[in-house]
Amino acid sequence: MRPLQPVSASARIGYGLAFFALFVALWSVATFGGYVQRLFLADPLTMVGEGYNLMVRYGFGFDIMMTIWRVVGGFILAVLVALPIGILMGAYKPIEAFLEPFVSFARYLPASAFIPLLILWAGIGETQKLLVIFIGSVFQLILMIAVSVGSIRRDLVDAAYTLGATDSSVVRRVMLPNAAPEIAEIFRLVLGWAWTYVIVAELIGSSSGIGHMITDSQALLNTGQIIFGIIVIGLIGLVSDFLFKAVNQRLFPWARA
Amino acid sequence: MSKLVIENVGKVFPAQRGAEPTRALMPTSLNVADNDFITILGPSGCGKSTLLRIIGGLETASEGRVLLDGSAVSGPGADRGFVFQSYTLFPWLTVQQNIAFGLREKGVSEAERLKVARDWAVRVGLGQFVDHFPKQLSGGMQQRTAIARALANDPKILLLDEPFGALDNQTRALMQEMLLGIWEREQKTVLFVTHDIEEAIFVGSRVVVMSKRPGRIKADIPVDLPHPRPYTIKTTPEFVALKERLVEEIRAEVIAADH
Repeated sequence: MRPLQPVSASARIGYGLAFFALFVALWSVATFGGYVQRLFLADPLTMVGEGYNLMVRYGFGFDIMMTIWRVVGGFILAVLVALPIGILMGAYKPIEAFLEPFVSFARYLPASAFIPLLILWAGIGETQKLLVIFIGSVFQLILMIAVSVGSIRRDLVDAAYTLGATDSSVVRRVMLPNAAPEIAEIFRLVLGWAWTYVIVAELIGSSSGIGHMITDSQALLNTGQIIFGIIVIGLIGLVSDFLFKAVNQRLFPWARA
Repeated sequence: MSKLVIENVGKVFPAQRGAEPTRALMPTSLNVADNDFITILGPSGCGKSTLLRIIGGLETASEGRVLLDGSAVSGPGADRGFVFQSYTLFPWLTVQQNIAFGLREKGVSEAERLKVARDWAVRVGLGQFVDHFPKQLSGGMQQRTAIARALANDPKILLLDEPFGALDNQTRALMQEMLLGIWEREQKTVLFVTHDIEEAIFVGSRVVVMSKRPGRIKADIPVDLPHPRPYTIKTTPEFVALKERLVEEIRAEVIAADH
């Protein structure tokens, strides 16, 4: 190994899988070897069995779909609000000066702390779940989009002006396409964070979803199901991340080699 | 009548954090005739780029005014094409789309602007590369595209700010010939800023020499070399004599700036 020496694509996949294997191996040793009580941590085989039970007998697929819909729904709402505000903030400095301090403050308000309040306001239905995701994502999105739109190279803007561009076409035809790949990357990142909020939202006052299943399983001391639920979340995150990357590369062939 | 009139244009950058305001450019006057090719030569930091950016409307003058075809310049516009030293092609657009950028602002129909853009790509030798993105092009090709993009707008004057400054010597020489060829064919008014003496003589029909900071015009020397100019002209006695004279002028400025 030397600093920054690249690895081949196949070796990269191999290394990545190797760590998963190592992780499962350590888990197996800890559980099958009797070092950890079954009450606290289920072994891998029990986990797989419980997972099968969940999927086939308890309709866990429905819970997964509910959770995905909440994350995606809340996230899309946040994007619809954050995109225009972020773009305006990035392009026009007075708007940034007006909103940036408040948004920076709001960004640190923990979304999970809003859950009791949101239950008061919106009940325990879907609106409340969507709002948790929305509050958790929207301020992050606004700030990151504003920064990426505003960080355009000055000489690209100058070039557009010397070609006869108006102020609005500088925003539409230069600043926006310039920031587009980074904005897509921001979506990928913040969607990942949204997943952590949805589970918290579902732990309280919910009758469906992955988080709800996890709370139920806790009451039954079924650690196998809990771990299966957590792993499902991880897998969905991995798949959505992969899809986002693939779509971004398709959409922006000009951005990085 | 002069195409471009620069009347006592000067620039003072305002004071920053208690420091004195700095003057980048002394009040400067210059008349540019229609279809003239003027090179502005000066040591680094002499304010030559500032002058060009004021003409381009990218910077405001602290005093004086710039008249293009008799009307005062305020802010950048499509009537003054600008080519920068840095690579300023829009990375998300292909060569053809980059060249067509200004035409779209003018409201030219898509078919028409793509046709004009293709024509210009061919004229700068990039006919094979119309669908390439900037990152797939060499530095010289990017600057050729940038020149084509400025000219496709059919500006009244073309402003070039050390456009070949980042290129290697061989590429730079080829680019000079290409630019000169375009100027000989198209007849444009051109202002070309450079710190390369040979370049200033080879492409220009008039070399304006600027002093060290704060810049002012120190000498205005006509270049009476015939057109078309092949690259071999660089070794003729006339060329060499002119070069020696300019080397002296610039040398004095660089020495003065260091002391």
